[in-house]
Amino acid sequence: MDVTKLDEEELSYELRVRGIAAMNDVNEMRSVLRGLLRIEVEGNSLMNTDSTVSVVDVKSEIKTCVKKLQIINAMIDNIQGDRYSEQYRSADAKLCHLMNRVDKLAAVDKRDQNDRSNLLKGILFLMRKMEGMASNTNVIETNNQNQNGGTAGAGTVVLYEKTTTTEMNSTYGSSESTASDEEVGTEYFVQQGVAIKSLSKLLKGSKNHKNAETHYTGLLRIMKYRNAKFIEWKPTEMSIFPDIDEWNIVDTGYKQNGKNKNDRNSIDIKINLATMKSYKMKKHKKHQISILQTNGSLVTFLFESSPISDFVTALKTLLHTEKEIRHHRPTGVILVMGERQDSDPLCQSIKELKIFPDQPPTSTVWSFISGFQNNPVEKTYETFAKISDVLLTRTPDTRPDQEVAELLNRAEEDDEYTMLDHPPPTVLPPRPAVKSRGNPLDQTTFYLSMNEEGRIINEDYIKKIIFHGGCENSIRHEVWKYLLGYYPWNSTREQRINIDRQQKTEYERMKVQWMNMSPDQISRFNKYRDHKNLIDKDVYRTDRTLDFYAGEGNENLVKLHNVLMTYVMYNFDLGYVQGMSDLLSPILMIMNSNEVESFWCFVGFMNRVNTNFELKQTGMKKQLNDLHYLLTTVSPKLENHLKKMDSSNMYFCFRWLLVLFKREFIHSDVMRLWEVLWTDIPCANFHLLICVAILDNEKDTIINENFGLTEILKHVNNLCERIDLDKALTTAYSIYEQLKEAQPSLQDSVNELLGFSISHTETILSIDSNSREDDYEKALSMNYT
Amino acid sequence: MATRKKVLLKVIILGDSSVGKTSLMNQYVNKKFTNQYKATIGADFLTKEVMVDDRIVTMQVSKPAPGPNPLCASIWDTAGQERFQSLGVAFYRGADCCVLVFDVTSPGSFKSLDGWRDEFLIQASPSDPDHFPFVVLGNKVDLDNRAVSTKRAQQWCQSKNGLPYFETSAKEAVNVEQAFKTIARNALAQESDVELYNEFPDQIKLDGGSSDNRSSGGDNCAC
Repeated sequence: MDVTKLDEEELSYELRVRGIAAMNDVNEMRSVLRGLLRIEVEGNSLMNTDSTVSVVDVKSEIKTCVKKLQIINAMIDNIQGDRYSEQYRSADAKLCHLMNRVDKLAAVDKRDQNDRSNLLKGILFLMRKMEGMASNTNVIETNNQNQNGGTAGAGTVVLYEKTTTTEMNSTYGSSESTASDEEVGTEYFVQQGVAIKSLSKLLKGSKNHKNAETHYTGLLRIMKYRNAKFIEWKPTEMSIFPDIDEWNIVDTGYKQNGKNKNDRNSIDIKINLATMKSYKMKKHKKHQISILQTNGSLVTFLFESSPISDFVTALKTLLHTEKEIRHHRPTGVILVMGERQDSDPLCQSIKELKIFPDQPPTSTVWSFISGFQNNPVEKTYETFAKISDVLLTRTPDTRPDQEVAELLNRAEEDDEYTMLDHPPPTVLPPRPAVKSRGNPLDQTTFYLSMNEEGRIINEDYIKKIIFHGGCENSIRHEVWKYLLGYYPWNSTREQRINIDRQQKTEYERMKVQWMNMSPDQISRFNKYRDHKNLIDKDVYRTDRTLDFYAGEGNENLVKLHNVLMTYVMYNFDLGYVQGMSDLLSPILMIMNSNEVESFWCFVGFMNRVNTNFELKQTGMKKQLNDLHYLLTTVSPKLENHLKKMDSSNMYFCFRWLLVLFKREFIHSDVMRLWEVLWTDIPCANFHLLICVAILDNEKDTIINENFGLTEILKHVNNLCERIDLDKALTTAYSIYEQLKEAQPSLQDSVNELLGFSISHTETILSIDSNSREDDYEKALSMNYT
Repeated sequence: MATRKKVLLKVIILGDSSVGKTSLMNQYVNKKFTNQYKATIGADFLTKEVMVDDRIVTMQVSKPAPGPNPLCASIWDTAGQERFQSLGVAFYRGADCCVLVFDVTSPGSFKSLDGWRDEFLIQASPSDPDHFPFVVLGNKVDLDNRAVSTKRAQQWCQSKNGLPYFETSAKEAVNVEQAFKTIARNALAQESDVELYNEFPDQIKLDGGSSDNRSSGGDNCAC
């Protein structure tokens, strides 16, 4: 333990457990501790054996430790140098300290014991993470030496190569990967005439993308070497070999045997089974299997004539797999849980922790760790997602293990992690022209669409008009009540009068609840007070530039306040979150300051978007993820740039999504836009397509100016009130039509987002979620023949 | 004369909702104040070029908003439950100084300083957390209903290794310039080995027109 890396609190703790009172001077403490540690190394422990003496309050000690664990985790993520770097050593020292400290936690009750064991697991995890880093960096150093001729300017390609070798080496020790080149392995599976899909070839091909599908056929094998198993593919016939940069998409699989970089003929594909994350089979003209590796790269093999099932069976004998389940349905994606082998002592210890309950995790764990080097954030998410995924399918008694992940603040929803993967680029047909914006819904059309009872008889028609042209301001007051669900579309005039009456009573009832609260009562109602304070602050700064809310003592501010306060009583769990006042403001204006109508319309609006405001941010994260997915499909070039700039979390679109562009457009445009979104035409996620449309419009600026993280944020923030709404809407619709046309080749997730029905193979796969894997396999092969 | 380097300092402003973060930022950068700010959603930032001890420095003041913000989602959640998950670590990463703001009329915002400080340290994880430059601003001193005394604020700053403390009014431009000068200076000291900043070639314009730049005339080479 490097005592210089410990802070004051940690030093005094270390001294305290050795029975020495804290001192004022940090340097003094360091030197004393250094001396003590030296004695301890010589075998004379000075540790106070009665650990309870040193720690007064277990609960607060646990809290401290959790905090430290989080800090160290973040430190590790930020390590840039090798194991001799300051950062690495700091993290190492702190981790060592923490280990001692947790070790001495006198946990008595069950909860504390649980916390303690979770802490230990967290520590262990971080240790592995650091070890993984250390071995990676070492390997990179050697690689640099080996490639003495390589120029630093070669960029990404060189980097990829490095990480490729690194990954293999760190998994199996530095000598093996070279060994596996020469070593004659055992053949597990051999298949001639398997093609590999060159995706970027497709992109660069002629306009008619269907003709441009060029595949390279070759020999596919599964090889077992002394320490690792590989899926190998060697081209047998090939006229033009793609340029190196086109192979970025299959980065880790690509490996050069020859020293000369231009010697393309020697390129083959190797996938270490240990780095396989999942695979998926599909039939799209040919039988194909796409293999996703832990680093996010994807390789697709096409089986010309031979049945794919033999290959899959071979894989299954080597791997532990599990079907990915989302929304209680299998997605067709088979997750690789680990290799079937093992005697590695490390795996044993992990196994004891039962983080991976079903089988020896073997090198999966190591492959996670080695991936940190390449992509620390995504890797961490993905890893924990896998952990929680496994945990969710486990029995409740072992459930607390999930807290390990939570301790590190990285727990993800089980269905989220795949969103971080990069779907293969799909070539989209050209964007079709769509008709320009139409006229707004006018009074006559609207009232004529009602029958004598006052029912709107052609809801869809009315919605369509609104989708294409919005609605005249004079009837917004009525129309919005339908769009926001206050009135059902098929309600009669009489029913609506009833609704008005009932909802007024209901509103008044809830309003009285907060209005009657005495200051004394409020003084003991923390949460309520917090909401109230925030509302008071935000009402005062909501749209004050509009005449409707301008000036001191404006009555409308009171109404804004009342409606928001009543909403707190209506939905106390959500309460008030910043951004809500923005959503209410236009509604209150349109409803002519009528509190009751505004309130219920606001409730309707909130029902659509309340997940945006959740404390855990799952709703926002999902939307940002979904947006990223769509952007990847529609504008891979921009996505690529964002990824390079550490911006693929799409965080710069946060404001757009949270308050549905309220801050991006002038007031009248906001109303026009919201009406369009409330029609749910053409799909519920149309707002994401609007984001894509706006970004697509900015992509040249962002890419050409080489904007980085902050510039992108600044640029997007500055678009405020400069976006052409009509253009954004038509482009978004055009993109929708474009994707619809490309639907069969789209990722399931994209199809799901846009409400397209999923292509026939998937449908078969997901019909019977209870079918055993074998049956599913059978169904598959039948479908293929 | 030693070659002056172009420097970009990254400053993060944190503090409870409505303590005046946006106002301070705007007063400093644009010399403007308005009562009509909106609650910040997401993150926002402004940049300004200043001279600090004979060096041209671009200050980039970032302001992640409280409330529904993944940067600081739930630090206020009950103790031990702080499971905010950051999407935006990148915004904190590489910060050179962190400004903690409270409202002198709001004891609650003063109490939150600890939480903001912790959050920053966790998110940004500076290599030397004990000596990372924080500057504390007690804003809104123009208001009559003051509720946090200077002494109390100073004591807190003392207890954290003697953080610099300023009492400011963004509205009346009291102490704002001075505070940011200290912020810039401390941030610069943090960057002991000043990194070259090449990614913003257009950020620094030596037009010689502003008094800030005059003393450095002629020194417009990128290195």
